[in-house]
Amino acid sequence: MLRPAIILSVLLTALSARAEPARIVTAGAAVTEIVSGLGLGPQIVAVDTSSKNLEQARDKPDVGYVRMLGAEGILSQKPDLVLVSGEAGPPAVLEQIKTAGVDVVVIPNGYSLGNIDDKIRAIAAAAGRVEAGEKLITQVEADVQALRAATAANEGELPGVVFLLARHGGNLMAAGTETAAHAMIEASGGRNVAASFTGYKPLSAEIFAAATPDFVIVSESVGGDDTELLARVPGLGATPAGRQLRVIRVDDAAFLGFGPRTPSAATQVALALRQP
Amino acid sequence: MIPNVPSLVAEGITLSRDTRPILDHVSLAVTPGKFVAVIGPNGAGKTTLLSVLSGLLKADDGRVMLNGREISGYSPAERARHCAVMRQDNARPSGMTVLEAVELGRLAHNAADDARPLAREMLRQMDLFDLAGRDCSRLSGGEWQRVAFARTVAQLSGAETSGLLLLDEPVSSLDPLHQHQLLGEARRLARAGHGVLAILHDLNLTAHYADEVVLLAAGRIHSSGPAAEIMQPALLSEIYGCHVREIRDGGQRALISLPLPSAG
Amino acid sequence: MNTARENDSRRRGRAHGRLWLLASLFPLVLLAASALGAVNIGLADLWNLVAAPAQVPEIVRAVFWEIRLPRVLLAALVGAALALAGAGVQGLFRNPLADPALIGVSAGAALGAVVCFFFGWEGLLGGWLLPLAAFVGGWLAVLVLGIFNTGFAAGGTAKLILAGVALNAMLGSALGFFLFSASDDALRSMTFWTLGSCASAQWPQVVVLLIFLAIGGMLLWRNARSLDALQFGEEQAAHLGVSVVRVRREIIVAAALLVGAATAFAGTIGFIGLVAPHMARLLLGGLHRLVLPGALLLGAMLLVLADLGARTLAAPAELAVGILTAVIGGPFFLWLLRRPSSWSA
Repeated sequence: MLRPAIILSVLLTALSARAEPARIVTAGAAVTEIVSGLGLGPQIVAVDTSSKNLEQARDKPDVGYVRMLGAEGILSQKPDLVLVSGEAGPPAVLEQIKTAGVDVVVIPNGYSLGNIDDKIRAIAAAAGRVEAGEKLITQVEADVQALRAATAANEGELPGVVFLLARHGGNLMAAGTETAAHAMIEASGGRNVAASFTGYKPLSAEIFAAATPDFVIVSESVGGDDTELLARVPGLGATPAGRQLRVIRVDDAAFLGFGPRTPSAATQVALALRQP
Repeated sequence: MIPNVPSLVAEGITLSRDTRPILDHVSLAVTPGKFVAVIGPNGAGKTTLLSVLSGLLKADDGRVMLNGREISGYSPAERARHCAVMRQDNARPSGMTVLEAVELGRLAHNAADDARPLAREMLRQMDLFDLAGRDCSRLSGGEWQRVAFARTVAQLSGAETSGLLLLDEPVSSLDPLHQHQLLGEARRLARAGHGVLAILHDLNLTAHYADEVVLLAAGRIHSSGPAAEIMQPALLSEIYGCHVREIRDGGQRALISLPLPSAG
Repeated sequence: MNTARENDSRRRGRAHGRLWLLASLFPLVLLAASALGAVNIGLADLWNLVAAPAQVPEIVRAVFWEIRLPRVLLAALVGAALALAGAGVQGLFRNPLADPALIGVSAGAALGAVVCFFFGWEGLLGGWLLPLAAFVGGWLAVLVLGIFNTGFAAGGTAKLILAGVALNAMLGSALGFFLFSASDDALRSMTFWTLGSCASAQWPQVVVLLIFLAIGGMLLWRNARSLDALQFGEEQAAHLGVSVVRVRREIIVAAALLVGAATAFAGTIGFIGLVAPHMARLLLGGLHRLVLPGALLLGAMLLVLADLGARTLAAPAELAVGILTAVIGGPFFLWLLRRPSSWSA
């Protein structure tokens, strides 16, 4: 559904193609990863907060939260090009940057593996690195093939999975439908047991016990070892995952970001899910 | 056109609240030149009567005519130009000086220029000029009551118009000297052509300053007439349920109240 | 005799002098805020922007005229609007700790915006649906409250305040429902909107807000003397000639216009409506002909400075201005509570 929009924006960007940008500001971890994957890492002069966890962005200035950007802040980095992910905002700020004469390209989000290719093409066109883009896509496609292979052998009932996210204050939330986690669980050959609601919700002990996951996926950033973790969620001890302690840890940005590393992160999870 | 002779006439005022009767066919008139005192035991309905007379409350039955017109037909501003009311509950503002408070008495008159000089004049007359710059929140209860009175009178002064003055227990916080001073001023205003009505509790002051007295008991007018007639010990003892006596001092007459012998 | 008269005149003169001081401080604050920001604009360029525009680099010109100046002006207008509404509400309810939120307009506006985010409509109408939804939400809340604006037989204003409390509670639970049911995406947008920000400032918003400020301000100014008289109590004010029910209605309408418009464009920003009018009273006394303009100036300057901090302290990142006003306002509020009460009931 997004494809025609992607193609159109790619064409328009290509038509207005400028010389390769010397200073790029990126917002959104996937966007930042793709830009450096195209070999433009040194040209990135500033990133948003979510990108700060990435190796290549650790010592770059932080332009703030992707949904709360500031026009002057970004312009103070003197960019030629500003590449932002779909949720970037506020919209007025993006308008203000354009009014100041700096190109702003919004790279739409999507919860499908095909979206990764779209993102790469859009960014490559905007940054004048179309060839490098195609090379990156080939790599990503190879990873996707590996993922397909890993999940092809799945037969019978898919393993039940729940993805847990840590909110401020240490509260654990479970991912329902219409989340990146849900799409990734399915892509990795699992079945989201928390599919009765949308978005993230704290699960109560009873509902959780009835949902019977076989595996629990959590972000690497959630502290404590597996036993501690399972103890924090009441009712989890009684589920198949709890009794057998099958916890899978993932890198958030890779697993949920729908960036270049996402297919391989999914493959790792898919392999882990096939453990009996 | 506004007649230069103000009048406030109440006819057959009847009012109940929650099926409890508060006023029962009360009629009275406030006419220029006269100081009318309304007295009676607590709960007789005096303050309610004042609220109806001043147009704040609507009676269930009967009507109030201000200068010949139904009082409900007046806008608050118009009413305020003819009828000045001093209530018992008078919140004291902070951040406002005494002079500024008295100036606000001229709010309904819209001519801002004469407000301050008039207010100053009022304070001078009431011997309050020393307090002109003081914040209202830093006045004693009695000082504030006198300032409120000055503000009320300021509402009526200026030009040749005369109006009506309704006072609800205007001297309750004042020392004897200032009680006499304030009520003396009220009587002077009556003589100058205004109509004055005051709810009073002090029998002695009533006897001394009122021209006419309306005795209200249990929502009804028990008696009304010239002060000399109504302010009689026998009648008052009966109504108030205590021992009211008269004392003569030279040419002056004073009323005192004492508890009944059995209660003493 | 003369001393008393001098005391009053001197006190009045002092208050007027302080108001003029605030008025002359205001353009200086605006100037300082316009000169500072993430993008460095030197004094020379600042001068050239008006004197010799051609000499200024194009990007500096764009940043100043299209980004920084509208933002500084929006902050000033929002701060002024919130402070004026606060002054009106504090005068009406005779309570120096009253906040415009009492009449439910802030919660209503927040609900309007949250509903907009919930359905993903925030981009519609060229981005104008969001502020429109917030404004309408604020108004609906005030209309509901208006049903309780009956006569002033003992306790009329108290009834209004209680109705406001109940209204806020209901709006709060409706807000909670939408927040709980929202998709993750919408939830994050809602959260950041409610923290408040002047970053979305563009010239059309500035013009619209200026119009609302003018209308709301005029409504309040008209009732300045009535607000003064209300301090004696509502019945006594009525005897002085104040149409209490009409004044109540106009003050609430003014507050709804001011807070509704400010919230529509800048999200919920707290404390200015409480702190600025109170500071004005401390400096200028209690008469509303002084408090209203004083609150306007102080509110504007406060928010301009808070916004300056929001866009420079963590540059190139943005801080939420609502947090900064709370950081400044919170301790001040606590200090206010500890002072001996100078406002009698």
